Amino acid sequence: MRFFSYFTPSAPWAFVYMVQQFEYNPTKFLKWAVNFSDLRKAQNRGKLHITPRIKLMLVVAYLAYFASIIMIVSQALWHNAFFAIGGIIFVPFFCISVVYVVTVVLQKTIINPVQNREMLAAIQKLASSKALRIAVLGSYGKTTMKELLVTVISEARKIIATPGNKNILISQVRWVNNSTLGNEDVYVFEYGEAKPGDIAKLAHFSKPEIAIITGIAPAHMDAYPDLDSIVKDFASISSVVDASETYFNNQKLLKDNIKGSAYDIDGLGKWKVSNVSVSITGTDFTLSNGNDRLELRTGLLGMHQIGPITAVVVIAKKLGLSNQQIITGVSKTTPFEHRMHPRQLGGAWIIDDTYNGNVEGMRAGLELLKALSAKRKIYVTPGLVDQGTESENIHKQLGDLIAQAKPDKVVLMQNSVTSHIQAGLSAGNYDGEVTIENNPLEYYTNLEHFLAAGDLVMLQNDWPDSYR
Amino acid sequence: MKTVAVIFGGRSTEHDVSIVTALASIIKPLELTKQYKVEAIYIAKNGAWYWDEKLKDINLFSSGQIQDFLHKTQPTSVQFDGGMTLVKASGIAGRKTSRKIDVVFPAMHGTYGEDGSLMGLLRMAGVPFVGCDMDASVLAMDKVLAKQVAESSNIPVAKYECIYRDAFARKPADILRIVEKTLTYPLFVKPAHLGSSIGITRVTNVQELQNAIEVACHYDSKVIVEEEVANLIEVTLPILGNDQLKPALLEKPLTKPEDFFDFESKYMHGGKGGKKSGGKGTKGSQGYSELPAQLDAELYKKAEQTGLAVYRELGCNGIARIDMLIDNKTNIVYFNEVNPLPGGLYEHNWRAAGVSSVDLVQTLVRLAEERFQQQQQENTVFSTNYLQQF
Repeated sequence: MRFFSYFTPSAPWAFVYMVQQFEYNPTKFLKWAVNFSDLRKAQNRGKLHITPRIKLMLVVAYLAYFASIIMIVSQALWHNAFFAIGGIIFVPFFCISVVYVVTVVLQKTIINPVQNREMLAAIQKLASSKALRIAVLGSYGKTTMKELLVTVISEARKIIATPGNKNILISQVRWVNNSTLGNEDVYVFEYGEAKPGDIAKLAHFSKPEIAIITGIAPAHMDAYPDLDSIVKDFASISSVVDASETYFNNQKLLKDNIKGSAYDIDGLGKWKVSNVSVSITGTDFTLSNGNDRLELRTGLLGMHQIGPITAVVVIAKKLGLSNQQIITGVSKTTPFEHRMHPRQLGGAWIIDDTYNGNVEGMRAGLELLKALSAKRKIYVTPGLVDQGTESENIHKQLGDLIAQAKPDKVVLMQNSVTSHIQAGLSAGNYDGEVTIENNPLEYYTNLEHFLAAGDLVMLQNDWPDSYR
Repeated sequence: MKTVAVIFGGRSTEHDVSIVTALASIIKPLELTKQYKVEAIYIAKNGAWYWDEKLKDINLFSSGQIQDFLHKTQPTSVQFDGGMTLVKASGIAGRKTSRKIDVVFPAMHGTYGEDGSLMGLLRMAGVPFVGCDMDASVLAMDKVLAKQVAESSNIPVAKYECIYRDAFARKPADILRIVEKTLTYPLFVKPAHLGSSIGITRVTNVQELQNAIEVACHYDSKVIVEEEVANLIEVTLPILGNDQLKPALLEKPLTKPEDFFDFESKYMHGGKGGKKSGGKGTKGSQGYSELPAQLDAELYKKAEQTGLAVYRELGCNGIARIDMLIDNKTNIVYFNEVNPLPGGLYEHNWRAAGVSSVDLVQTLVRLAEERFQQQQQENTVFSTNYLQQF
């Protein structure tokens, strides 16, 4: 049925939808298309966002689809029926090729020149601002860090950050152009990396004075050959930001390649962490530097939040915030939707971490699951997408991490990495219950039927239906 | 994959409640287990059986399209062939579709379903079925018999009198006199076999008593009149199991004796007939209630033990809900009645007790199979030379 979905009239629509999903990256689209994913599932959880570019692409895609069909039918009627039958196979390939070519041509002839003009206007607008600029980059934890900075620093300073997931260059350019920036004290830019060179381009555009690198993990491995290439991309921030103003998560790979101050669960520089307590409603800890002591309480879950909060506290102090302002700001930090976000369902606790898309984030979630007490613990995941050639190893590692967290039950969403996670579970001698769900949407929407009071459920990552 | 047939609807005043129990609380979780093929069997109000995938859709019933469906659809035949097989016309060249049933999950409330009738049929068919067996269902659905069994086991019950419709029709004055002589107002008048509070009236004088008995006789040939328990705390306890019993949480409906749940307040207004008081109310399938009931530990334990004792004495299996009345001053726990198939399986209570809907239905199917296996080991055949004499 998956194969036949490429021949239905909804196929051109699905092709254009996926181009948009891949942010008009023709190479990613082509890789996806030749993988023969099930087009029936491609739009299960999303809708095509209609723009002038999309309208044009839809028209061209359907013209290609119907033109190829008319050509084949005419062959069948007037010439060689066998040739026509063979030609049917050609329909989706022709359609995919046309969508690919249109994407490339539109990008080069119309989109790029327009975007260049937009970029110039944004650079001029930024140049007129006196605000301090903070860049947040990393494979994971960027949104949390960005929100932490805004919540804490806004206790004393006017601060604004790039909204939502606007972390690619053109979306930041448009944000600058369309925002009424002017009297803020601080701007926070979230940098998204999808391919080598992205960080340098973003840094060149926003020219930050402070940079925070939240962590490194395998992500976008379809574009980066290895972790070294990702860290090299992150390290390019040093061409703009001084080492004294660079903070990074204390991971070996970052420590070996980035010049700056490392933060982790033990603190940052002379700032030391103590009295840590984690619960389903938040995290408490003490941060001290000599006689300077802050008793902090955050609504964020997990010990892995302590390092980033420490970095924010240090930056906030540099910006002149008082201890009370910092304590108040940290107390206002609450979980963000789909990121270690706890909620109750019929007496059960669910930790929604479905926006988590890397193995380090998964590790943090599993450590939290292990630390919390519950009558029954359930761990639900489809695994991780875009892990490239390392996918098998990463998912075996994930299986092993799950085994170490010892949930009572593991629910895996059936896909191409499921067997690797299972192998990791076996290697970790996991002896709990494992169930495989082949309809994630059905499982999530009926979650209440699977849960009871006293259950603790960790939902990590979501797997787009367009992936296999 | 085993096939589980969920039977619902039926010739009962609780027909509509049964549909909701089946579709929301049984079929959906059973399908989510991915371990069973679930077949929906609907018994219409005229007693005809229907088997179709479309019957799993609540919209068919809520929209009223069910009448059109019944008009166009052939009823299903049930074949007892050393088990149970559903047979229906496929609509293609006179061919028939059949499906062998491995386990039956009755989801019928009240007469012909919950009262042991269906259970007797399934016993005869030799197919495992969920919930109380025939004898326990018969006892449970007769409020008088259930109280008599409880009394014989020294479990306290409120004072009561049993009235038969025929006797009341012949000599109403005599019956009223006997009731007034043996019982003290206020009294509750109930049809002996109906659930969901149908036909129940609270009375405080002889005129109300007569009217109430007439109403109850309209629904049932057997009526129970019982004294109201003073200083009342009403509690209910769902229980699961065959030999090893697992109680859920003791639940307290947040109502006063004078505004006890009738059918209307239980099911028609989301349970709003019950008064909401305090912040611990839970809006379960039966409206607002306190879950778990806030009783002191000793009284809670006593009520739980009473519920478990009733479950055992009546011979319940699978699942049942025991309703009890507590005199808050004397701390006496009275057995009130048993519900062998609680509406919606009381899944809200089970969920609060740590049993998910999926686990609940899976456990019930397992218990049904275990009981069936035990019954299969009983010898029901005895070889004699009796026939050789003829």
